[in-house]
Amino acid sequence: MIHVLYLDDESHNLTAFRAAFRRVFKVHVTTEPTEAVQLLREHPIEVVISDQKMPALSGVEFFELIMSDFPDPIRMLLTGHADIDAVIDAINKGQIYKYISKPWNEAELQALVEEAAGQFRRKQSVQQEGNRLVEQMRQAREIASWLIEATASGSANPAEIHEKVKKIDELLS
Amino acid sequence: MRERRHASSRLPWRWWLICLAALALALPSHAQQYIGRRMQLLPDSMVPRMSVTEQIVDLLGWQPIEVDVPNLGVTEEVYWLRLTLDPAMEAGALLEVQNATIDELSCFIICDGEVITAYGDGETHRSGQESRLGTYPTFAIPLATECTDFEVLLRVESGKPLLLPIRLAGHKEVIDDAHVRDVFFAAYFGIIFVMLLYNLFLFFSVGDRNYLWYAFYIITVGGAQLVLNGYSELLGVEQWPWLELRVVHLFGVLSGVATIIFARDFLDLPKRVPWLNTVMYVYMGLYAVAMLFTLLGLLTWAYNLINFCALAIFLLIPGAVLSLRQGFRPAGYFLLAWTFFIAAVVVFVLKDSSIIPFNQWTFFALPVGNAVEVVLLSLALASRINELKQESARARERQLQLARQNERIVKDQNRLLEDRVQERTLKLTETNRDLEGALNELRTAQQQLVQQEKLASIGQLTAGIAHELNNPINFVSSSSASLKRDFDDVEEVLKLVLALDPESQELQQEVRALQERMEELDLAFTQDEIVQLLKGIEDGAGRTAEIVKGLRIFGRVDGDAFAPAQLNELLESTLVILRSSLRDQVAIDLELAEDLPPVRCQAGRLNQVFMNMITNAAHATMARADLAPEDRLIYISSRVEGKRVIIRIEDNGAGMSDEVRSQIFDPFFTTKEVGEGTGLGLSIVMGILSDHEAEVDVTSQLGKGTAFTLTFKA
Repeated sequence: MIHVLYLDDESHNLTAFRAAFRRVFKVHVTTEPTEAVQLLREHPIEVVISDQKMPALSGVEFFELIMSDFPDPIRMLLTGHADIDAVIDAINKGQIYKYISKPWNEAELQALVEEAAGQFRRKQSVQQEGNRLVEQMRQAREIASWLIEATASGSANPAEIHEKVKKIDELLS
Repeated sequence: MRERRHASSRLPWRWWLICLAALALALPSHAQQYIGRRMQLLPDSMVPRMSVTEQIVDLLGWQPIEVDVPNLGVTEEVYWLRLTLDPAMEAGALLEVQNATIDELSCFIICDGEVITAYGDGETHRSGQESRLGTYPTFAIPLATECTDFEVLLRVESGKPLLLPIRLAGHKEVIDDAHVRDVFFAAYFGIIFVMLLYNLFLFFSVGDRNYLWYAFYIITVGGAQLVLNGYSELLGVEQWPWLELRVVHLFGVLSGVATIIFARDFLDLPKRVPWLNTVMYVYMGLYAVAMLFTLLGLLTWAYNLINFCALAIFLLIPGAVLSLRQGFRPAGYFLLAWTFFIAAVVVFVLKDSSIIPFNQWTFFALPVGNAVEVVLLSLALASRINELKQESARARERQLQLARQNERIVKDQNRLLEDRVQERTLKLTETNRDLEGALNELRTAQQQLVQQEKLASIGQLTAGIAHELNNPINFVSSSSASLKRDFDDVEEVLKLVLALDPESQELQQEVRALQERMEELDLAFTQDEIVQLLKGIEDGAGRTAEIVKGLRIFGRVDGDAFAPAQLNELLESTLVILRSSLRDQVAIDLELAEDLPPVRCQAGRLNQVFMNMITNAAHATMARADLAPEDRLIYISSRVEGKRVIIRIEDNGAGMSDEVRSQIFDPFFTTKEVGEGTGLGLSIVMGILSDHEAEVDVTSQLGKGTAFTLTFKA
């Protein structure tokens, strides 16, 4: 299930959000930005949604705050009518992925969250694949250096060499 | 002007003729015989000291006299005169010395070397018998038929001119001549006296000091004539010999000074002939010296100096001419009078110098000339006054003319002005019309601006409402959908419960399945959630209702009609509208009186007032840099004071200076950046408040805050 974090100073919105999406997502809600950071640390959050208009700090400010520590989760902003300038600014700076205006459309919001999660996962998998490839390369390089050393000293037997070559083939396939 | 001057220049000639005729008539008809040629002269310095009178007659050095009337001049020398008489013919006659100013005159009648009679005469020395018959010293020649050498010896001494017209005449002849002289001088003094009175009278009535100078002049000149011609007795000076000796000098000095003062003033020398005026000052100085000499007893010196100073009278002629040339007409009279006088003086001097014969004609020339002069000068003075009058009349005429001219000019100017005024009025009317047009345009523009301001506040209102409504609508709608799903779960479980068959043997199994399903659906959480969702919906509905209520009050349709309204309600509704925008920015402390009476007002417009003021207050707190956001405060209160409702909106914001405070209600005055405010907010507020007859009081302290106090009539 997709892990979604929703930050809003209006607790009724949190209730409504959780009620609406608890069946499809793993929903984390809070009214406090500090608690939101805690939740980000404790759970594999994929999508972060924040209300723009909050007393302590705005949504955009909150995103700026978590950017360095949690760059990966996809950020989405919930806004009213006002502060459209701030939103535009935030989008242009690449801080948020999408913005949703209140009142939200449930299906739309769900689709957006899923899309965001897909985005997150794609990003995540590409990263994993890259990591995996780097690992394979590292192993292949290890075997290659072993082979060079073995052939130079002539200490290795042919079967062992054959097995190693087969392994490099596997790694590079 | 030219014509008149011509006439006046003719006038003096006529006067000339008249005066000459008068002079001719005044002359006595017969001539007198003077015996100068029969006499011999001996200065006293030639006479040995301690000589006896009889011895003098026979002294050597007697000089014959070559003229009828010897003139020994002004000298300190004492002279002796010797006359040889015919005892047969001339005894019993009178010897008359026609000089009244001899200081000391002694007469000795000597018969054959023996003094038979001695007379004394003179202003100081009156030894001997009474010797005057009339005004002149007269000595009776005694009868001396037995005498062979019959001689008269005269001793003369004087600080005045020793002019010696001496004659031998009969008693009757002397008295007759004395009478003629008396009559003549009586007439002369009569004229002088009349002129004196006349001029004094004029002085007192007209007040022109010229008359006074002239009176002074007349007194001194007349006095001089008086003493010169032997009438000094009339003055009574013989009682004081010291004075008697000097009376001629004194009158000489005084008459000279009086002449200068009078002429100077009459001819207006300081202004018209300044150089002559200076010369006159010099003469005055000389007269002062002469006066000093007189007082010191240097009588001869004094007399000569006075004589020299008398030359000043000649200088007055050019003065008068110059004055006349300058168009001062009375100078003509003066010139005429003065010419007369000078002519008489010239005759007098010539006579004294024996250039012309000494006779009655020449003798009377001076007083006659003087009398004529005095009269003419009187006329001159009158003319002068006339002239001055005419001058002032002319001046008045000129002024009148000028005034008339001015009046005409003023009239013309007035007409011109009127035209101009009319023109200007026309132009002004036109300008006025233009201005009215401009004003109308301005009014329209203003109305548009007011409308814009209204729209702006409506926009603000809309945004605020949208904000306020967003949250409740969001969670109400979202919650209701979720609630439906929750109920689906509950319904499913309920259906399963209803499907349970109590008789069934598999009941236990079914219940377990049901429990499993319930657990699967997390129905416990759902139950909890339903309560929460319902609370949210209720809350949202309530908030929406509140907003709508506020909106209804705020945006009253009857906003422009005066109707009783609760200002508290208006304030609250305004705050509802503003809450979303202010909630996170500034704390609002509301303290409303409960017993507030309703106020007749235009509720909609008052809301605009409150909104504007509260928004301003909020902005003021935000503008104060040293204030933390949580310390920003707006304090709004309402209270009743008698029949008045007082609303106070106070903030702890940036405040304003007195200069700003005095302008805040001016249209287009704004402290905000260009484009941020129209500057119309408070001016509209003021308009609305004055429509409500509300009083506005603003107190503000820079850096401390501002308070608006609005007082409404309940």
